[in-house]
Amino acid sequence: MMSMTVCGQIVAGEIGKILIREKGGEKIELGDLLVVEDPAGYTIMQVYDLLYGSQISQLAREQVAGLKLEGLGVGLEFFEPQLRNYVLAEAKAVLRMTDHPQSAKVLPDFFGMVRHIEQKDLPFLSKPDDPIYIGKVRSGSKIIDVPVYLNGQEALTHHILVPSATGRGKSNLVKVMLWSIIGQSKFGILVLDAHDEYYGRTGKGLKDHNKAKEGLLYYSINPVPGTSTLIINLKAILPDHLNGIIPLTDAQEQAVSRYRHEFKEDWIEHILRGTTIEAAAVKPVTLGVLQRIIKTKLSIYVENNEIVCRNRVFSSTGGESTIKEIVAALQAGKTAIIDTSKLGDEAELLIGSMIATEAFTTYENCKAEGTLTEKVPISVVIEEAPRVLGSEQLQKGDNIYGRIAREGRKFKIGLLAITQLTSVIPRDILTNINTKIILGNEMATERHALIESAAQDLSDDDRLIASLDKGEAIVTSIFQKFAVPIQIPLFDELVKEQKTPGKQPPLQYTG
Amino acid sequence: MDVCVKRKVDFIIISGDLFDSPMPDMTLANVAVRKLREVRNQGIPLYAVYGSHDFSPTQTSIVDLLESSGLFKKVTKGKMIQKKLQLEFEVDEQTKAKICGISGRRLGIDKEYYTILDRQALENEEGFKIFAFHGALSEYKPRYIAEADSTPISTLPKGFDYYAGGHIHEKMHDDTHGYNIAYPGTLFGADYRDLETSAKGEERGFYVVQFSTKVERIDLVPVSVCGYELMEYDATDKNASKAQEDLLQMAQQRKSLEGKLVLLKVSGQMSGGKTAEIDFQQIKKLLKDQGAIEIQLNNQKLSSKQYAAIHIASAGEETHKIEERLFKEHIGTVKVEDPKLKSEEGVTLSKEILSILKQAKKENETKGSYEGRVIANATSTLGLQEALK
Amino acid sequence: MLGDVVRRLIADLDNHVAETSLGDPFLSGHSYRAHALDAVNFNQIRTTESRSRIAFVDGGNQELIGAPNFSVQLNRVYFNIFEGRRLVSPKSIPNRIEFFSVTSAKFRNGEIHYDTTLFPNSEDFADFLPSPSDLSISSTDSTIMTGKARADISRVGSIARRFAEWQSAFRIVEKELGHDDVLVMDGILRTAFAKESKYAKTAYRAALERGVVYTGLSKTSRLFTTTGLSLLGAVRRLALDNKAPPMWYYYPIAESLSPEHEAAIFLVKLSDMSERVFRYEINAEQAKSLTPDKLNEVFSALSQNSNDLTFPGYPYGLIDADDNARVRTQELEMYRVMLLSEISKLGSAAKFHRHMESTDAHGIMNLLKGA
Repeated sequence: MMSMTVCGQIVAGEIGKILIREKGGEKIELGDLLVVEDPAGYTIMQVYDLLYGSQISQLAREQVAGLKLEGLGVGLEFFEPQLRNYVLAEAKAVLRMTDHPQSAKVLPDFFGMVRHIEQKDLPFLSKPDDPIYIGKVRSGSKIIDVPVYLNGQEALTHHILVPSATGRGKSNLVKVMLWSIIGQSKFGILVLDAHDEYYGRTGKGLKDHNKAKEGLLYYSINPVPGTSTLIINLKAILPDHLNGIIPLTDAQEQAVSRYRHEFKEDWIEHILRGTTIEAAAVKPVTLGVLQRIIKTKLSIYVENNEIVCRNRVFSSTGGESTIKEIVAALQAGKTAIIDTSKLGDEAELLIGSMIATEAFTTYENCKAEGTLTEKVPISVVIEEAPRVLGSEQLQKGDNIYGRIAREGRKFKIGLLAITQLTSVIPRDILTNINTKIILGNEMATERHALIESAAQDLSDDDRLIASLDKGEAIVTSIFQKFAVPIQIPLFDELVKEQKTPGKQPPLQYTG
Repeated sequence: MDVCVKRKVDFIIISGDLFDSPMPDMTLANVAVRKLREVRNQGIPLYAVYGSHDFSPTQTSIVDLLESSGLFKKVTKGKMIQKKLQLEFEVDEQTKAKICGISGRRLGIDKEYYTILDRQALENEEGFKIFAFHGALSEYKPRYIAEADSTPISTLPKGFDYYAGGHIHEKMHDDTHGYNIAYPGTLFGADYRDLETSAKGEERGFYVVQFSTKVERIDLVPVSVCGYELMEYDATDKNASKAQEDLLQMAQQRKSLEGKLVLLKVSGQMSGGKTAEIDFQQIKKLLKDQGAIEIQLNNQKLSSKQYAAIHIASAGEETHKIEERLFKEHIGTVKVEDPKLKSEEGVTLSKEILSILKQAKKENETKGSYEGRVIANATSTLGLQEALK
Repeated sequence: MLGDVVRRLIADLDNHVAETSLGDPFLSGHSYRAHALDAVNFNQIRTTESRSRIAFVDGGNQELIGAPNFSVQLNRVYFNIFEGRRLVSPKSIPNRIEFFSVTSAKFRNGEIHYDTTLFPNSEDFADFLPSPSDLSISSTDSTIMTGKARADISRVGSIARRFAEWQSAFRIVEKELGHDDVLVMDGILRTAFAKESKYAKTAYRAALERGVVYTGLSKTSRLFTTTGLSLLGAVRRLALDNKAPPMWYYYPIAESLSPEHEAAIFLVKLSDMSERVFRYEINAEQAKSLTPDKLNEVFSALSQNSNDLTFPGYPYGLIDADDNARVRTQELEMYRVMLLSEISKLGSAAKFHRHMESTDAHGIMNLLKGA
C-alpha cells in the first residue's frame, strides 16, 4: 500500500497503544481514524494521543532550542528535519474488518503502513430501517462522506444521553435528530423545550420541515398562529404526577390523598379554595402550606373567587384534552414540542410528568393487551436531566422519568436526556442508557463519569473528549461496533438543503 | 326560535349543523322552514356558517335551499387573493355588528382554510366583530373526544368580540385566553352520550349575548326538549333470562314516563346465555306502553362469556372510537400507493366512507335512488368521479 | 584537603599546557614534511552556490561471538549523498551494506595467521566487499600488533570493514558521482593494513578519472606541535590571535611522503557558529590540481553541510552516516542468539564454549557486579 494516502507507519506498541510514526508533512490529528491493511482484511485504529519523537536526545534539543531562542543559532537549521524530529501517534485498534466487522483481538502487522480512513472502509455503517440521522463520520477534524444513523427503534427505547458542556451544540444535535424523525411517523417524540429553541418561532426550526404540517405539534402559552395554546385542565393533575417533582412531607402527601379521595378530580380546586374536610382530617396549617406550594410552584391560586393561573397554563375551563391529544399524537408517530420557556422548573416537569405518565400507562395497557408491538416507540426529550434523574433528586422520591429510565424499555418508551452533569446521575440509570452522544466537555469529573458508563472502552479517550470542538461528537452505543466519531451538521444547513416540495394545486375557496 | 322572538333579539347566529344531514326528512325540514320564516317575518336576520353535516358532495343540501330562499345569510363569503383567504364581513344593518366565519367541512378541508386565512386583515377591521365557526378547538375539546380533529385557537383571528362556535355538543364559554369563545352545545343530541348527559342533569340551551361596543353579558337560555329517564342495569354474573326478568321488573316499576325519553343502559358480563336472548323489544314495548316517547338502548358494554374475547378490547369504548381504532390498527396492513389511502388521511377517509354507507334510506326514497345516492356520495368523497366516467 | 590537591594539580597542568610558543606541526617518522605554522596559511571559506553533490561514507562493526581462535563480527558500511541541504536517493546502488565476517586462526608457516571469510546479507552486496584472499594476515603483522604482543583476533574484524569502506567508496564514485562532486570518508586517508592501499588506489583512480574530489575528515586528531601542544589547539590559538575569518581552511600542515598516505592535509573550521576545527585530507594528486576557487567550492559545499543545529561545524552527512553505519550493542543480542542456536543445532555448543570461555571471564565478572 504505497499510495498517496499513506500517513504513517507502525513502529511499536501493544494492544490498546499502537505507536505510529507520522509521515513528514502529513498531519495526524487527535481522533483520526487510520487503517492498516493486511492480506486478510484491515484494522481500523483511532488516535488518542500525540507525542513528539526525535532521534536527538532531549538535552540536545533543549540546547538547540536555547540557541534559537537567544538568537545565537542564526544560519543553523536541522538537516532532514522530518527524518530526525517527528510526531508519534498513540492509537488503539477499534475494529477489525475481515468478511465481517469484529473487535480487534490481534495486533496489526509490525511496520504496517498506515493510511487515513476512506468511505469504502466503513461498509458496516449502513442505513438502518428506522434511521435517525446524526451526522457524518469524522476522522480528527476531517469529515468522511459516510452518514451515521441511529437505529430509531433500538436507540430510542434503550435511551439516549447527550452529555455536553455549554455551547458545544447539543440543541443543534437534537434539532438535527428531530429533523430526521419528523415525517417518518415511526417514532413519537415529546420535547420539553425549556428555551423555546426547537420550533423556530424566529428563524429556522423544525417548523420548516416539509412534513411539519402532519408530523409536528407545538404547544406554547404564547402560540404562533396555527399552533396550540398550552392549556392543561386542573382536573388532569393527579397526586402521582407530583412525585419527585414537588417534594411533599408525609403530612402533606396524606392531605393530598384525602382531598383526592373526597373530591376526586377537583381535589386541587378544593385545596386552593380551602374547603374543609369532615372530621378535621387535614390540619389547617398543612392546608395552608399546600396552598402556598401550589401557588409558588405552579402559580395557581384563588383570586376573586376564581381559580387563576398566573402563566395561564393550568385552567379550570379549557385544556381537558391536551394531555390525551398529545399522547395520541405521539402514538401516531408525531413530534410534540412543549414550549416551557416561560414556566418554572416545577411546572415544566409536572407537565412533562403528566404527559409521560399518560403515555407510559397507555403503553402498559397495550402490553397487557398484547398490542404493544404495533405501537411506535415514544421518546421524551428532557433538558437538564439531573433535575429529575440526579441522585439527590431521586433520593427524595422516584418520578416518572426515573421510571422510564429503568423500565421504559419494556414498554417502548425511552428518554433522550440532555445534561451538563453526567456525574450526578446514578450509575444504575447511566448503564441503562445505551446510547451516548458525547459532545465536548472540559470538566474531568464529567468525562470520567461518561467514560466509566460508555458502551465501549473509552478509557484512553479522555483527551479526545476534552478536545471535541463544537459540533463534534463521539457516539458510543451497544448497537455499534465501535465508538464512532462524528461531525454533526449545522441544522440551518439541513434546512437549506431540503428540497422544495412540489407545488400544491391552489386551494379553491367555496365559502 | 320562540325565545329569540320573545326576547326580541337583534339577530341570530347559527354555527352549523342545523340539521344532522344535508337532506333530512322533509317533514322535519318543513317544521324548520316554517319556524325560520316566522323569525324572519319578525325582522330578525339569521346568520349562519355551515356545519360538517350540512355539506353534500353530490347534491344541493337543505341549508343551500334555506340560504338561497333568503331565510338566512351565509357569513362565509371570501376570496383568494395572492394565496391568502380574505373573508368579507357581513354587516348587520341594525347593530352594525360585523360577522364573518368559516364553515365546517368534512375531511378537514376547513383546517386548510385556517392556515391560509388572512388574519391580519380581519384583525385590522374596526368595530364590533363576531367570528362564527364550526369545529372543535384543540384547547377546548372535551376529554372524550380528545383524539378528534380540531384546530388550535391560534388559527382564529385575534381581537374579535365574540367567537360563535358550533359542532361541540357540550356547552362551553371561556374568555381567559384572549378569545371570548362560546359553544352553545346541543339542544338534544346526536348519540347516546349526549342523551345520557342530559338525563344526568346537564342543562341544555343557547346563548343570548348582550353587546354595544363590546360584549356586556352572556346568558344561557335553557331549553328543555323533553324529559329523560335513565335506567341502568348491571348484568354481571347473571344469565340472560335473569337479566330479562330483572329488566322487565325495572320497566314495570318506572312510573311517570310520559313525555320522556328513556335511556336504557345495560352492561356487564353475563354468566350464561347470549345477549341476543334478552328480548329488548319486549322491554321497549313495555316502556312505551307506560308513556315513554322513545327508548334509547345502550348495550355496548353487555357481553356474554362466549364473546368475551371479542368484547374485551372494546370495553369502555364508544362505537365511533371502536371504528377509529380498528381503522388505525388495520390501515397499515393494506398495501396501497396513494398517500390519501394511508395513515391518518386514510383513516379519516375510511371514517367518512363508513358514515356515508351508514346513511339510512329516507322515507319515500326508492331503493334505486337510495343506492345511487350512497354510491354517488361515496364516489365523490373518494374523488373517483372522473375515473369512473 | 582534596580541594588543595586539585588546586595544585590544575596549577601544574596549566603550566604544562602553556601556549607561550605554539611551535610547528610535528608528524612522527620521516614520512612527512611539516610546514611551519603561519597565519598566512588561513584561507577564508567563501560561501558560493554549488551544484556539487557530496557523498559521505562511514562503517561500523562489532564482535558477536569470539574466542582467541575465532571471531564473528557484524559489519556495516553506509553512505549518503547530499545536494545542498537535500538528501538525495542513490541511483542504482544500495546505500547500506551489511555482512558478517568470520575470522579464524590458522597455524601456518610457523605462525598464527588470521583468515577471514565474508558472509554478506544479500547477494547484491558482493560488489562492495573486498576479496577474501586479501583478508589473510599474520598475527604478528606490524600493522595489527599492539606493541610486541600478538594481535588480538578481534582486531582483524576491523580490517574487513575498512576494506569494504574503500571498496564501497569506489563503487559510489563509479556509479553515483560525477565531475566536481566530492566524496568524504570518515577518517583520514592513511591506509594502515597490509593490502589496504590496493583498495585505496582503486578508489583514487576512479575518482581521478571521473573528476570526483576524494577526501576524508577525521573527527578526532592526536597530532602535536613541536612544543608539545595539540596541533588543533595550537592552530585555533593562532587563528584567534590573528583574527582569522569566521570559516577557514588552513593549508599546508604537512606533506605526506608515504605511499600509504596519499593525502594533502588541511585543518578546517566549517562554521562561524562553532570554534571546532577538524583535520581534513584531500587526495594528494587531486589537491595539486585544484585551483583556489575550486578548493573554495569544495570547502564551501562542506561548510554548508555543517550547519546542523545539533553539531554545528561538523558535516551533517557524517553524523547521518555514523548513525546508520553504527552497529549498536542492543542489536547484537539477536544475532548472538541466532548464532549460538545454530551452533547448538550442530551439536557443537560444548566445543565452542570451551574456546569462548578462554576470554570471557571479564564479562562474567561484570555481570556479577551488575555492570
